[in-house]
Amino acid sequence: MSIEIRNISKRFGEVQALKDVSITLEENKIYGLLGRNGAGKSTLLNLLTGRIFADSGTITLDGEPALENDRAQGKLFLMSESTLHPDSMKVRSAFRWAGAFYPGFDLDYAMALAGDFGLSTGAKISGLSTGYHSIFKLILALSVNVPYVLLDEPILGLDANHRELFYKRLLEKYAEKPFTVVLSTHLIEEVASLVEDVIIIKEGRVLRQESRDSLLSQGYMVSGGAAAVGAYLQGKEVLGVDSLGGLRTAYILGKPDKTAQSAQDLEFAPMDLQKLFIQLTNQ
Amino acid sequence: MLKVDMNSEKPIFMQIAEALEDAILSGALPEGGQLPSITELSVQYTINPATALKGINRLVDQGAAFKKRGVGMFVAEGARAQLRRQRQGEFSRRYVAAIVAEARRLGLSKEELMELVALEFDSAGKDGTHVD
Amino acid sequence: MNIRHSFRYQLRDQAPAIGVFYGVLVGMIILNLIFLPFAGPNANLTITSGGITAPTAFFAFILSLCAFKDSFLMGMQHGVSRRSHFAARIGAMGAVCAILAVADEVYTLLIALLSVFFPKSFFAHSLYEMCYCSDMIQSGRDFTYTVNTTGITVLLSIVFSFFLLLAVCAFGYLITVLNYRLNKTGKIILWCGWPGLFIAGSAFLEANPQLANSLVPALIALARLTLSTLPRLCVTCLMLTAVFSGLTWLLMRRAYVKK
Repeated sequence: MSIEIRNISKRFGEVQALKDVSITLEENKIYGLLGRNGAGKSTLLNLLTGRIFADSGTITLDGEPALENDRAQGKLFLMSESTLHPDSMKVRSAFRWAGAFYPGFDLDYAMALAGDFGLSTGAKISGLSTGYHSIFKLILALSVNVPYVLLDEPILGLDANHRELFYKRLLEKYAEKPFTVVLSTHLIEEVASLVEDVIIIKEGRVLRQESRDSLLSQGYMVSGGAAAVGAYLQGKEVLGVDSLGGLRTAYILGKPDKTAQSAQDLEFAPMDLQKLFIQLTNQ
Repeated sequence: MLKVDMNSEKPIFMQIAEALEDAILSGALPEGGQLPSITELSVQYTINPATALKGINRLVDQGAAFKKRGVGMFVAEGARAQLRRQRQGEFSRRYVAAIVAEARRLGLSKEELMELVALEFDSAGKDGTHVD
Repeated sequence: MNIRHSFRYQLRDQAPAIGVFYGVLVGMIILNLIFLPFAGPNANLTITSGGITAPTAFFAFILSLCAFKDSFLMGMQHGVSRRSHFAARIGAMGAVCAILAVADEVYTLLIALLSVFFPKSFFAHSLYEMCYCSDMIQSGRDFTYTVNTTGITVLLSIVFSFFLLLAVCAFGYLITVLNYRLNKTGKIILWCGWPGLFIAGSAFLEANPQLANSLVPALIALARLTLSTLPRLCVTCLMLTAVFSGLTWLLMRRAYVKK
């Protein structure tokens, strides 16, 4: 059971938003969909849910075509940056309609979450602040109970307390009954520990698609004097180098070679996901 | 329990495994007692359950924990002694090597280093805290 | 499954407007009744309804113009395919037109009932009766007409209104979907273009009177063919509905979500 995205391409006028993208989203996994602004993340999510049409390629969900297919789309739920609810609709109403369209929607759970986050269910959706708009969206996503939940910038505008609460509720839900979650975000640091697999999109192409641990094991930093670092870098795949006076820090792809002669006076450190992402996607 | 350090060289699952090992060694998790569930670990540390599972499985692989079907994960009998032996074996690689490297960097001689070690050992509190 | 939910949503979406429309109509009746006892002998306090379905058709057109965007986006949020949304729209359109047709006739009958008690103040016939059951007599510059109503006209009025409103709704919906699909340039071309075409067309006809002279009888013949009897009107409206709906589907099936 999975979502198979094969050779998807999408152009908007002059801009090639996605080029020959192929991704597999397996069941019951938490994915981090990472990419810079304009990399194509939102486009990809919109294509998955049939909100826009691809120029070429196919998308199948659990073996059947995903598009214009009510059964397949019923297993999917996307919360994009702007929700598609009418402006004047109230939060409570939105919950009720979600319950009508998605039989698995848990209204009691949604109301309980609204209480936890302090969201007033009588408020108009359009009247919510950025933070509470995000909270509204993530409550819907956590309550809808479908196999594939896609969240586009879920933590936009959330304060630290609400972010922590969201992660906890998400993990509780996931632990109770696993489902696939795709977190598309810029705030890489915080979701790094939540995700199992990472998909990095760079300029419309898939740069990396693998488990987080595997990705993290592929990069490291090395720092020391300019000459020593320079010597060590020979034959290595260097992502970038920072200089601070006579000190140099290099970001390298591969496994650290601490036994090398040139490694003696150097300091090795792992790269966290955000640093690795930045180095991989810098131009 | 410790907070998970995202910037550490140790992968998260290793940190989880070691935190659990520490708890077993100190007696906080008694032998025969139940380990925290995957759910508890994942929510407590806000980490992916797969990572928490990897950490627990490390203990299982070492023989320090076992799974009771339908109930959960438990600390194995003799786990404490076993972990102690294991840690003693790793002691040199983990800690001694670092001390020696730092001592060398500072230009201390072997005798000076040994003196410092003896001093610390004698004056430190029972639970290992440093006393100035 | 989704069709049913989308149908419910689209109905709920349009219900308030319908409520307001008839609320206003009934409100006017009530106001008239309230002021009647205070009216002097020369006061002209009458409600004459010579075919309420004409304004209702206008209302239905406007209603359909507003019926697409919100419910389409809502459907898209909840995984409703465009196909299902369209099918639900057809159902909702039919339901709304049936409701409006019946409500119109109830309104007309209500006024007819009141005209029994207040013959000088209330007067009503349905649009169907006005169009198909009346004889117009011209004497000089005055027109008088007599309406031949029978019991069956109540049912036929509802049928007439239903098909007329159906075609109007389908047309309004087509326009709004077309407008949704167009980009800014397209919108300008269309909305400034069609009156321009109209003006150009009538200027052309003025310049070519012989063309106008042959065009008018042709149009009258067409009207006679399609609208002269109730069955013909129903078939014509049904065909128009089908054509408008078909075009709407062609436009809707590739409609992107844009907020």
